[in-house]
Amino acid sequence: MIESLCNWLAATPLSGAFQRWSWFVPTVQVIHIVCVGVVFTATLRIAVRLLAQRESLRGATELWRRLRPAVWTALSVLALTGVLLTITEPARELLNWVFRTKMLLVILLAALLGTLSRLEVRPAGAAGLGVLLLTLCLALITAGRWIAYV
Amino acid sequence: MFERLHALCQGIERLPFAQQIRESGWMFPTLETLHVIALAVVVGSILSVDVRLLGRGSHTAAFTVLARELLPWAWGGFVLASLAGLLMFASKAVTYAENGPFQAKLLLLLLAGCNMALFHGLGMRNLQQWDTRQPPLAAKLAGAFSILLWVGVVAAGRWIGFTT
Repeated sequence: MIESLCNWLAATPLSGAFQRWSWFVPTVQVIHIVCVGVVFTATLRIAVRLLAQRESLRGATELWRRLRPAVWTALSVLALTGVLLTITEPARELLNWVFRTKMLLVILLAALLGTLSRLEVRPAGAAGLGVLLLTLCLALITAGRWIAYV
Repeated sequence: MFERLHALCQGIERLPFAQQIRESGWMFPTLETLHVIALAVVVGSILSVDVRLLGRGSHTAAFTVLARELLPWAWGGFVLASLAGLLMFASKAVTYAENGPFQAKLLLLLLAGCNMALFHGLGMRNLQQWDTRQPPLAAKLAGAFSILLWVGVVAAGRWIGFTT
């Protein structure tokens, strides 16, 4: 079923146009990488605060409140550029288990970031959350790079 | 001069570790992954500082506080990205040395370094006056150039993969 979806998608005029334009994939990838940088650095800063603050989480939640608009904007651009890259080469992405793992990690990261605002009332496990956020980000970037090799 | 550079690159390619990276199935992708992780930290932290220099983003936060927090990450990321980049370069030194986007990437890195040095020399004058306010034009220009140059570095880096 996914294979026929890939075949259909690859045969659409939009996918054909994206494949013909030699500049399209690298340009979209550049935007994708810059947004990865924005999300990763923001997550790194929050994770460091979560790891450093054992008693009060005010520093981490205040920083998250400031960074939230930029992070959600970057995540939205990442989703859009990801869709464009998938339309261009559907089989390379959708049939690849690394890509599927990456999507799962994206959902997990977004869900975790969504809970950050509520942390003020639940400070326990903050260090664990920091480690988890960092691990997720590193795994996401690793998966993103290894799609090309698996 | 070019012949000597070519011979030097050929010599680098013949080094045992360079051959090992070239022939291994996992070493190059692993180095590339480290390079991308480090580059993400460099670009993300520098862009955050640049956006503040443009007077946007965390404009209520002091520039010095933001720079003190983020610049060590940027330098750390830069060192890691350079190390991984050097190892990747060694594996196909001749191909990379002759590659246009690779040469452009080195030039853009040099320009980004010059821009940073110029900002430290000129743009940071009277920093106390604008630390928690809108930066002056010189600082805004340095921030804008920095964004353009670092996005250019990423773009040139990506184009290497499509032209080698």
